[in-house]
Amino acid sequence: MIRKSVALVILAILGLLVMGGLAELPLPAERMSESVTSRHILSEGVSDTGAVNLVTAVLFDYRGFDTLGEATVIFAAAAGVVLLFFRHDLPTSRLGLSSLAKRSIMVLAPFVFVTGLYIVMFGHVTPGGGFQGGVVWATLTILLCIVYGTAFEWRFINTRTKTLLESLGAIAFILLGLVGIYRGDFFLSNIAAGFRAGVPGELTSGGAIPLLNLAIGLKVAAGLALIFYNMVKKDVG
Amino acid sequence: MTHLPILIITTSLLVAFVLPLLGRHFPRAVEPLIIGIISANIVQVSGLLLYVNANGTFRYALGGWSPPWGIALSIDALGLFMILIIQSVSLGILIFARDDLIHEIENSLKPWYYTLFLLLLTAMTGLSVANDFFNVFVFMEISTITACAIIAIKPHPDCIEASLKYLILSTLGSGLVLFGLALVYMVTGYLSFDFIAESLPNAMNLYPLNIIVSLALLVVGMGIKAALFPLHVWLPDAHSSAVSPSSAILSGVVVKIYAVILIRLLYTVYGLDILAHIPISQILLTMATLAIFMGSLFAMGQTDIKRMLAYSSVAQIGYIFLGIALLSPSGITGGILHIANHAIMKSLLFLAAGAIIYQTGIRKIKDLVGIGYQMPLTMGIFGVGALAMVGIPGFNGFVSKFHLAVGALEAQQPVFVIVILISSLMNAVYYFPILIRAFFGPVNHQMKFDQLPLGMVISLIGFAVATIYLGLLPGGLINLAEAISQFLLSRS
Repeated sequence: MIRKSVALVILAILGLLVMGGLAELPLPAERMSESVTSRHILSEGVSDTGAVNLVTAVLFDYRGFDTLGEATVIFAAAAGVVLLFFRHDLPTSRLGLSSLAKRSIMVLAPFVFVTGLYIVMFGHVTPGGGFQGGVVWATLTILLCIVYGTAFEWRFINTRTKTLLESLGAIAFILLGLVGIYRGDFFLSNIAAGFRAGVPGELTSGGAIPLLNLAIGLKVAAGLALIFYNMVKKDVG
Repeated sequence: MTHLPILIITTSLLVAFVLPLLGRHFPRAVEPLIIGIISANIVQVSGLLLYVNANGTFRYALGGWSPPWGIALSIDALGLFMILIIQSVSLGILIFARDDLIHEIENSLKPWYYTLFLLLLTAMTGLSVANDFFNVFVFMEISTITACAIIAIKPHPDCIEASLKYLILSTLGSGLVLFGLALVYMVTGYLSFDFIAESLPNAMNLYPLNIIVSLALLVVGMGIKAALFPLHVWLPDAHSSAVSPSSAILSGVVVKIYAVILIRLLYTVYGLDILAHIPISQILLTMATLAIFMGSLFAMGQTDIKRMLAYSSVAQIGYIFLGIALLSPSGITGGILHIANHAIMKSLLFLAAGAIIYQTGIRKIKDLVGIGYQMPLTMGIFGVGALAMVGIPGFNGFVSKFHLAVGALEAQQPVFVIVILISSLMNAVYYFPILIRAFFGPVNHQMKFDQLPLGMVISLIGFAVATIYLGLLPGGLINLAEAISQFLLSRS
């Protein structure tokens, strides 16, 4: 009881200190107009990268290296989950849900897939990108697994294929980055390395950004599906 | 030459992504490939280090976008020195792991283990040269997750519990760092360390409390990850329950990378002028002293040999932070030297303990009676590590402790010389009984020789030679550490 109240008092003091620090800050709107970085990206972003969606321009061009790191985080998490559930077996159930559910998911599946593809490929034009579209793809495999039973998924896209896709996505991202060095510029250089900027707003604009998005989309989809599959495994002792 | 740093990182990442695929079809190629890539990295880093010594530090702008728009890596002596330690120590550990892992984990899991190991190395390599706040955060996340995974790889409840504990506390640390960097970003508008360093003095006048809070958050966040006492609670479980190669890399290298980031932040980003506003040096010195004494005290009470080594790491982290916080040239030199020396000797001790467990299955210190007659080579090498830990002249531990003591005198705080002396005696109190038990106990065994696979023997001998070599001829390493300390002090 005493320990708890002492901890509460200390927390309250620390919290007040942090609040005091935050109270000093100017309002977000003022700060945005002062920030050199945001002003530069707002005014030059489209001509620098060819991408209309400036969030994607920052994510895949200005700070592409951080995105490679984030993709590696997902890769590491998936690898960790594979290790943890290694001794468990996948229950291969063929039952699934009712035939009504099976029919309707088959009608829906192509649309879900295309929606994912759209979000991935148009990441530099409209809100979206590889991470978001990849999650949609991963959802599709999870839906099929629930509706048709795990045996269906196991037969069509087993974990080996998923590992392959995940690695291929990650490798493609690095190879696209190395093109920059090959062309005499820097790692992950985009327009400067000779990728075509195109007409802003079109699918072919943004140089390597759509390709990078596709690589990330594959990686994220396979990685998340892999995590899901390892987690539905059953402990066989 | 200028592309070398990024090539080290990307080729390591490529290999890490390929390993799971390779493991399925050509399992034999996995180990030569990972040992090959690390050897190649060592050669490249050595070349870069010579280049930087001759031509000075440079920045590598990723994507051609120089800061503040993009990310740049800072290729300087501190980062390259750290990469060299990371890669060389892990080369030794991997040569040991080839044979040791067979009896710890299943064969088909080995490629995944190596993948995670290589990702951890690459993340630490990135952290050593990162010069951008968010880049640091991203690499920190990779190293946290991979470190948890290589603890949890052994299918044992203790490992899972330790790994979960580490994951939760380490995520708390990441959260604090993220909060701290957000505060800095809000007042300066930059993520690049160079630009933040430029605009912080001005921001300090406008938002002083904010910057102090950010510094506190960063120090505590990094402190959790570096296991600085009283934030060390996760370390003993994690480092003692993991497989021996994991313990060696975690205790030898991983905790120190966060100390290196903190050095970079304190000296090159915040600078001594801002640090003078806050008693940060005194706070860190107090925590370091506590770590040195409490770590040793806890180590004395342990019955499990790996747990004892883990608590000893808590004490040794204290030495490194002591060097950082003294704010004197020799102090920093001593801290930097101890990062290298402790990485070598603690990896040696963990691997020697792993070799004992491999051959005899003994983990309890009291059961080690007469082990010196069964495994003379391993125990001899363990003795080298123990003497280095205590700081006997002629072993590498002495070199760094000596520089720390000189640094304490330079900073006019002679009390820390006494701290170093007393703690050396405390180290002797828990290391020497093991040696005495091993070699001078009642002999009921016949004299035998170690029955260890060749790889383990080579790795142990390699670490022992490095420990003695750096103790007898430390000149090159000292010059490097002094160059780093000059570089850090010239920046602030």
